[in-house]
Order: sequence, then C-alpha cells, then structure tokens
Amino acid sequence: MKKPKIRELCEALRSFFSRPFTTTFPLTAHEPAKKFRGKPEYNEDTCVGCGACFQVCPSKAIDMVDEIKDGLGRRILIHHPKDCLFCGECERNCITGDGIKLSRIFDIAYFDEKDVQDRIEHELLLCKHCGQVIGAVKHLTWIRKKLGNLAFSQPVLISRFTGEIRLATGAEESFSGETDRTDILKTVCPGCRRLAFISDEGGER
Amino acid sequence: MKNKKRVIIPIGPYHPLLEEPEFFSLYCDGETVVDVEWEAGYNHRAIEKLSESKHWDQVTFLVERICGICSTSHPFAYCNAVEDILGITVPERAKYIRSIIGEMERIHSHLLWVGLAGHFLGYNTVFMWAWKYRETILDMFEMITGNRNHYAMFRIGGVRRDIEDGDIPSLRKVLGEMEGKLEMLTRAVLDDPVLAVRLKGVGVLTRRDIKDFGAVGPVARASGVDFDVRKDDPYAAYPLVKWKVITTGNGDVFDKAVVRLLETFESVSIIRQCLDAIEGKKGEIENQVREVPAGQGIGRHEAPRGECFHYVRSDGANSPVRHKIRAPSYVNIPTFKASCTGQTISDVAIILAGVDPCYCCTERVAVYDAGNKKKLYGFPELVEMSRKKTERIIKGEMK
Repeated sequence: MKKPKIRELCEALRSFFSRPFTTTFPLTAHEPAKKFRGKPEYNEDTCVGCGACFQVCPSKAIDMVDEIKDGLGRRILIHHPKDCLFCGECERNCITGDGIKLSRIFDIAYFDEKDVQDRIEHELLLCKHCGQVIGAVKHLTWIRKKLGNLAFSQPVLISRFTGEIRLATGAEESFSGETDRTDILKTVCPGCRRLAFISDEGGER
Repeated sequence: MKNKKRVIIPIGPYHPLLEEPEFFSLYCDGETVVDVEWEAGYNHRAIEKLSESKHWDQVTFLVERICGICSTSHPFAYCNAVEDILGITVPERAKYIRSIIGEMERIHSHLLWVGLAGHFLGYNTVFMWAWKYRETILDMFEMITGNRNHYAMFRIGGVRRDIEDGDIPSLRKVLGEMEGKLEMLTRAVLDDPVLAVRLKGVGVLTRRDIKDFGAVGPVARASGVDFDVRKDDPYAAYPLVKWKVITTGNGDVFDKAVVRLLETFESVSIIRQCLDAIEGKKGEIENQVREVPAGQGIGRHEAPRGECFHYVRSDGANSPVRHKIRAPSYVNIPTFKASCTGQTISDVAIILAGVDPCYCCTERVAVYDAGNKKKLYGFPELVEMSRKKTERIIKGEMK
C-alpha cells in the first residue's frame, strides 16, 4: 500500500519540478518535424501545369480552371487547404517531381480563404482552328525535352521544336476557313487534325 | 410500460459518448439498471458508397478517416482485403513497417483509453499523465510519417514511406522511456485499492456473453476468450516476431484495463523486434500494383478495439463495386445489454467506457423520467455521480 504511493509521489514530484509539458505555442513558434506534411505549395519554376495533381487528389482539394478569353488561354491550378488531407499524393504523382511540394506550414487558419490558397497560372496552347485547349505551353515544352528527337513524331511538338532550332520561318500560321491537308502540320487540336485527314482522304468533309 | 416507477434514461441519439453515434435507453429501477436498449445508424457518412466512387488507391485515405483514434486500422484491413483479391504478398520490409505503425497506434489508443477511464472515475491525474506519455508517441508519428494522426502510410502492395535509419535511434529512445512510464502507470492502476474496489466486479461479461454477442478485442480477451486476429489469422509481420496474447479471466472493467495496459508492453516488444529486423537494411517497400482483377477479398486487422473487417469486391475496373466495413465497436457495443444490467447508474459511465468507444463530443446524454419527460441527468451528471462514488470509496464510506 505504501510503496505504490511513494512511486507515484516520485513521479508527481518529478512532474512538479520539471517545466510544464505543454508548450506556449502562440508565444513561441512551433517547429514541426522534418518530414511534417504541411500545406502543399506550387513551385513556379518546375510546375508545368499538366494537372496530374488535380486528377489524383483524393479529396478534390485542387481545382483546375481553363479560361479562354479573346483567343488567349490561361490554366489556373488552385489548392484549397480547407479540403486538403495533406496525404502527399500530389507531390508523389507530380510528373516533374517537384512541381508541387508539401511544405512544413501548418498554420492555415484564415478569415479570407484567398490568403491561404496557393495558385499557379499557366499559358495554354489553343487550337488555331477551333480554339480548343491542346495543353499548357510549359507542359508541351517539357514533353518535347523529355522525348528528344522522338518529338518529331508529333505535329504540335514539331512546330514548337522547329521554332526552337530555327528551322521554322517564324511566319504566322495562316488558316483558310475550311480544314485542308496543310493544316495537319499546324498547331491544331487532335479533333481538327482528324478532320484534316478525313477531308484529305475523301476530298470532302 | 408495465411498471410506472421505471425510469428510462436515453443516451443519444447522436451518440456523443461513443465512436459510432447510437441511441441507448437505460431502463432503471431506482438506482439499478434493469435493461438496455440499443439503436444504431445515426451517423451514416456513406463511406461504403463513397468508396465506390474513388480509385483503389484513394480509398485508403477515405477509410483512414472512419476513425480518428485508430486511423491506421482501417487502411490496414482494406489493404489486406485488396491484396487478398490480387493474391500478392507485400515485401518483407513493408510488412515490418506496417506492424510498427499498427503497434504504435495500439500504444497511443490504449493510453488514451486509460486516461479517459481515469477521467470518468475522477482520477484526473491518471488522465493528465497517460495523455502526457501518449504525446511522445504522437511526436514519433509526426517524425516518421509526417502527421500526428492520419499517417497516410498504407498503400495497396506496401507502404508509402520508408522508416529511415536516422529515425530509429530516437524511436528506440522513446520506447525505452515509454516502458518505464507504462510500468509505473500499470503498477499504479493494479495496486490502487480504490480502483480495485471501484472496478472489480463491475460490468462483468462472462465467456458465454462474449460468445453470444460476438465481442472482439480487449473486451473479449478480458473475459478469457483468447481471440486475436494477429495470432489466429496472421498477417503483416506478426508471425515473424515473438509476442503473446494477453488474456485475463474475470471480464470486469478492471480486467479490461489490465488487458489494455499489458498489451502496450507486448506492442513495445513487437516494435523493438520489427526495428531490429529493418535497421541497417535496405529493401523494397512496395510492390507496384497496376490493376486490380475481378474478384472479392476480405481483410482483417486487430485494431486497438478489436477485429476490424473489410470486404471488397472488384469487377476489374478502377474502383471497388462493393466495400463493406465492420468496425470493432459495432460488435462490442451490444454487450452493454449484458454488462450494464444489474449495475447502478453511477457505474454506467465507466462500463460504457470499458469497451473503449470514442468520446468525441460528450455532454449529450440526458436522463428522463418516463412519466413526465422531465430531464433528470445529463452526461456531466452521470460522470459526476461516477466521481462521487469514487470519492465515497476513498473516504471509506463504501466497500
């Protein structure tokens, strides 16, 4: 009976003379662990705007908005911390490896959600014929670099590649109203290219 | 009601006291509970349906959020189920890592329970100390997996993150300290004369009751039913390490506490052996899974509260066509019918706590007189009654 009380008394005294176990968090900054999974953040340099993070997110915390205005396209990727699970799937599935990274930021309480949202904008490449989205410019450039010479097998990539190595004249691609054979090698979306093939084979649409 | 003097005490319906909200009516004759009725299904979150709309890999994150305390037990069982369909085994290193995470969770869950049990008995020092010791385990989780809860470690075919050699020494240090503290806490609970009087013989479940209700986990083991999925249906690294199933024979709340406290020592020993096995070695941590063929599989895991069961059926597409989940509390809660009957109202709080349901948002229990629907007791009053009984025992007024 007495011995157990002494044992507990020792623990009580030790607790009494050591400093409080709780931290004074708002006053002193909290340092999370090294591997802490905090708010995901986009990297301006390495994000190519492919939208893989948007597709794999289990809780749909990432929004992908394609805006087309006056013939110019913009892709906006927005991360909403209120829906985020901090699972790290976006980082794991990022095609460039570090386009989106989980930071160690844990303090994401907000009055206005825009204060904590992370967003990144990308220029979109649009079909010169119908105006549909082909992909983000940075994404296509990334694919082109990844493919190397194999990029010559893809018409859209050819047009970008030849421009880079100064094979192309740099002249603006011109379009007549109808799709025709010459459109196959221009910056057109897959749908329009198929139309161009069909009209070439059959002579009419 | 035949007997008008009977008082019905409703607990619920949004069950405040328990992991899955449900509704209890305690039929009381004076101070004594004569019958308990139970209803469930109030907190339907449609997780099984939602999982049919998610990709195989995404479901692990969904099922992780079924329970806030034992958050790794559901992905564990789900991954076991999908691997049963696939017919694959995970790499050995992944097996050890899975077991380490599972056992660390058991330690923190049992410490949480000990703390809450102390709180309900009026032993707030136990509550403070047990939660203080638990905190170091949560810090280890943050260090290894990146989050204090919802570790996101499990993946079909393996684990997502490796335990690096650099983290192992600090984990060993914490386990060493933890063992001393657990020793102190366990002895303090076992030797305490007040707790013995307060808990022994309270809420007794016999072996027969356990078989009848199909109870699992520490609740069953406290009654001498030697049922543990880790031993009976071995998975992960459990057959590769040495450990024993803790059982006691009396089936009262005291024995449930003893089983839980002694299990934490087994967990510490399992984690140590797993760490020995992975330290200084390199290895694959996952088998790549490209697609899940058509078929069905079951997965089980011994969660801190008992057997967690998942059934998954696949038609070869991207997401499950049927996902059935049975959490351990679901089978443990009906045992209240056996354990609460014949007990006093002041013991009900600790008996309900005895099966380790989740106490998320209390203050919703109310005691009503059947005749005039007047509110008699709320949950705070029940806890207060429980504490007063302990005080009376300390003063020597009761035996």
